[in-house]
Amino acid sequence: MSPMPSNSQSDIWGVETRFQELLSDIDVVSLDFFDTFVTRALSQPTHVFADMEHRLVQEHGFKWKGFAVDRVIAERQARQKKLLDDKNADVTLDEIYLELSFARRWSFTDRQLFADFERNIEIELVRPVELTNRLISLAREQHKRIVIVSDFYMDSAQITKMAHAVGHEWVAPEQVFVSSEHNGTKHNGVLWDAVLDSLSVSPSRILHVGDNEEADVTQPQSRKIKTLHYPAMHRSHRLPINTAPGVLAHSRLEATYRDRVAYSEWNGAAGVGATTAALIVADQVMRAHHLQTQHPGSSVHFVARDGWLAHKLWNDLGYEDGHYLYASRLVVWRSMLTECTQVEAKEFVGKEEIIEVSRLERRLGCTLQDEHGSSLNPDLLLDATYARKLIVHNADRVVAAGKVLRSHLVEHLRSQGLLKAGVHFIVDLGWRGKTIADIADVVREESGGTSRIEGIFTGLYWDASSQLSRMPMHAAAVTTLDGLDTQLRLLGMMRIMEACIGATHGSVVDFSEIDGSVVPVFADSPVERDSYEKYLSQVADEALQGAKRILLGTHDSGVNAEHVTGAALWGSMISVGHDPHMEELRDLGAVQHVTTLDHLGDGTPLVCTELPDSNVVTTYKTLMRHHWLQGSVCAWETSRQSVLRSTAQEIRERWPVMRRVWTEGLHT
Amino acid sequence: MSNEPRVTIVMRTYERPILLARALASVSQQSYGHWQLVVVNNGGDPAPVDQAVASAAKTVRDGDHKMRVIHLKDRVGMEEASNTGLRDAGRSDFFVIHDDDDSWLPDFLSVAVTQLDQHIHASAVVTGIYRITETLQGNRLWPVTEEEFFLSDGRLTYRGLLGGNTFPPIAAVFRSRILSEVGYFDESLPVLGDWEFNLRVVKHAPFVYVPQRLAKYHIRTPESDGNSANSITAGLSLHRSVKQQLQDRWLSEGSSHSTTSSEGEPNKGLLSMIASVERDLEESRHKRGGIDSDSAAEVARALKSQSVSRKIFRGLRNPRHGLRAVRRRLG
Repeated sequence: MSPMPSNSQSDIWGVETRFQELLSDIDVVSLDFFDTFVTRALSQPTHVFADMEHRLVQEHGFKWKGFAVDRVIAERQARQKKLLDDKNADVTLDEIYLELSFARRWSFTDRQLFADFERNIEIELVRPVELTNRLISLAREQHKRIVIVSDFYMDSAQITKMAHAVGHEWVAPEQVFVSSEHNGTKHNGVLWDAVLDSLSVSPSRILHVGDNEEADVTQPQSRKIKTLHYPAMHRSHRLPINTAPGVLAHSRLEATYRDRVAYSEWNGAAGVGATTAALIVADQVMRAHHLQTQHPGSSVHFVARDGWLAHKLWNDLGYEDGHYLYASRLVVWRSMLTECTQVEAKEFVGKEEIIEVSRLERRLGCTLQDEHGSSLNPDLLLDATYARKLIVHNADRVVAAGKVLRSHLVEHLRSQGLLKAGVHFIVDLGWRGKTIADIADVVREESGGTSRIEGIFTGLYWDASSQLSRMPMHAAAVTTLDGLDTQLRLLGMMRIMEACIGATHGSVVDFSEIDGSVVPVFADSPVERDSYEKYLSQVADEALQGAKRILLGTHDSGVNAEHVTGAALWGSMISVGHDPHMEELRDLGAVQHVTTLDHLGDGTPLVCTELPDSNVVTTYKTLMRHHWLQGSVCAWETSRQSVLRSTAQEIRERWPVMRRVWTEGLHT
Repeated sequence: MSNEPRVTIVMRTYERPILLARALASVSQQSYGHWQLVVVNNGGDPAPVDQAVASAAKTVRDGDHKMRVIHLKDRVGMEEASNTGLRDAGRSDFFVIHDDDDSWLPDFLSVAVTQLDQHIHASAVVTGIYRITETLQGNRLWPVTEEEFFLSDGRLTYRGLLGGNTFPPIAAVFRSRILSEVGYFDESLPVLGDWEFNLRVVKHAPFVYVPQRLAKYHIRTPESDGNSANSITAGLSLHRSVKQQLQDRWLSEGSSHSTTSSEGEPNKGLLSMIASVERDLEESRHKRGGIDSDSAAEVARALKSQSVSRKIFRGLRNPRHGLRAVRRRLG
């Protein structure tokens, strides 16, 4: 992870260069405050309230849950009341806390106490912006007057204190123009008029730097003030109301990533790698290591492909007895076949599928014969009905191939030490946990019950309930006990999570014997390979570096192993999965994900680009099964095609759980 | 704090291994660790129960010491099964009846114990509840709806509970000493034993209500496999009949012609019947959205309908007032 950009680095917006060019022609440098003069150690402003809620719950109990949402709502209500009173004036912190005191039944003293609590936390969380510091140095060298112009509900004294907290002790309240004290905002222009009145300088002799298009560019320009737009710090913002404290670890990681890319493009793939993927990988390794320590003599097995990154990190950290287990849903399921009826045939061939004989034979692991006992032309195309009929006709061969596969799988499990007496842990993302439960059954049978498997998962959804009695499952972020809303949200974004926590190799589709030893056979999927090279390798690199620093306690954000909790994982997954940035949609939406049984074919992009069906219910189901549902809906909302926009709107209305607001249903 | 269990969890089960596995997981995932679990296998096949408990025990620290199973040879009533578990459990500060089809969120015990420690005069704590409707077929279990179970402070008072049981056992943690003060569950009741018990307890000492929703009350849909049905959905008529039996029993405890018994105590039977009617009215109002709804218009509508029904009732009781009201209305 690189440190702050060096002085020689220039920003892609050319702010510093333009600033130097313009400086000689101006008398006053005006700076926006948040996301220009300073930033926060969190990725978005409302996470300050999440931090407050977290501390309140830690110290004073669960009755403080929901504080952050109440705080956001109180601000909205205070703004609405203020609008009725004076349409130009901005709200103040006291007015917000008055609203909050109604909701929480506080006394006057309580109200003051909590307002001060927020003021103090703001000071604690404030961080300098490197580029702005350089601009300030340049301006001060040339003895230019510097002012701060901000739309903010706190007063100039508080802004002064925050400026002092990041080393700018020269700032005095007289240099601060804040909307809460001037009956108007930058947005509506009233504050700009107040600034001009107060400074008594020709507008053309003022240069303003800020992040907001309307407040910091359009409004001052309309008054002939020179402007520079610096949006870098603003890019980490998501929906303000998603403020559950579980999101704090993600927020700190994302703020650190934001600061790193302050001079360049925001890479959606790398951003997800540095945040969500890093947290997931850190969690996989941390929990596996913890359980291994509790069970001396146990081994840890990272299952292909979801355990690839964690296995690399495990080795990198020098932990022992960790293995990479070559298994997949297809391999385990096929090796457990004892019969092959229409039910199994349906699993092998999709309802609408038209499949080549050679591909079907590869799925089944055996050659097929027609009703007359003749071999089939490998290039022949079969429709689903005939293909299934053919599978049932060749049931003996399919089952026999399954038995051979099972012997290979057992050999592989043995070579990994999984059949040794004792307990072994298998790490997987494990959305259903079925494949690992099946492996546990194989291990139990083959070891005569002396070897026991336990699963370490990131998430499990409702369908996994039937697995619970088959093996102990250690799920972190989501469990089968979570609510329906939580489960649906997880299902909608499962594809992106699977894609991001992947491996460089294709899925395991079979085993073969080379020189007497069993080796895995991978599906070679060009579209997946291409996606990995273009996007997912960036996720992987960032995830590995980030997870390592988190576990070693050296991450710049201060996030360490203690912060990697189920709530933190869920908060992070849902931030990206449910409320993505445009950059994430752009850089991950095009990733092709192959979901066929044999992991062959063209796959589907994570973000669906075309309307799959005119029926909204069918569309919803298709998105849920084959794409990143929430990502697709978000992308459609900004599409040029009106049909996509209206379908997205209908999905949000019909399935309210798919709206971007998720705080209240958050896993805790 | 000593390692002695402070909470005894009694889990009754009968031939529902899938649901049992979920219930056990909900116990093993509790953030609060000082508990012991007694699973009462009420006459079902022992093997799946043992296997599920053994699996769950591995997921918690000292699981083997914390979880044990009592296999009853023959199936007994629900309340007898609860009492068997409670008597076997030995001493602990608190107890809870955890049915094998229900579940908790991880903070349930932690919050409940904190509340009971804070409210030393309370007999029990009851948390907010989610009601989950789900379908169970074979090994597959999937949720159909999830809604917020209506509960309030008022519903946990003696008066509130008289009309009928207002919460399922999964949401309540009781102080153990209450058993020696009011007795165990009434084993003669095939259903609603928890209601009868709750009334005895709340009369003795108040309940504390924690609105935070930490308990999940699961109900199977009619499409579910037969054995998985809830006692309340599978036997509505039985519930009704036992409720009437209980009300009859209480009526006979005093004079049935007045709301006070011969000793001057309020007659529980009559009060219960009145409360039942009030409760039904309240629930129907709640279902119309008149209580929880954010919409001011809906609240106003509900209040208006309430006021109209009050006027009609008053008019019927006193026809002269009714006629006067109609005349006033007409002008």
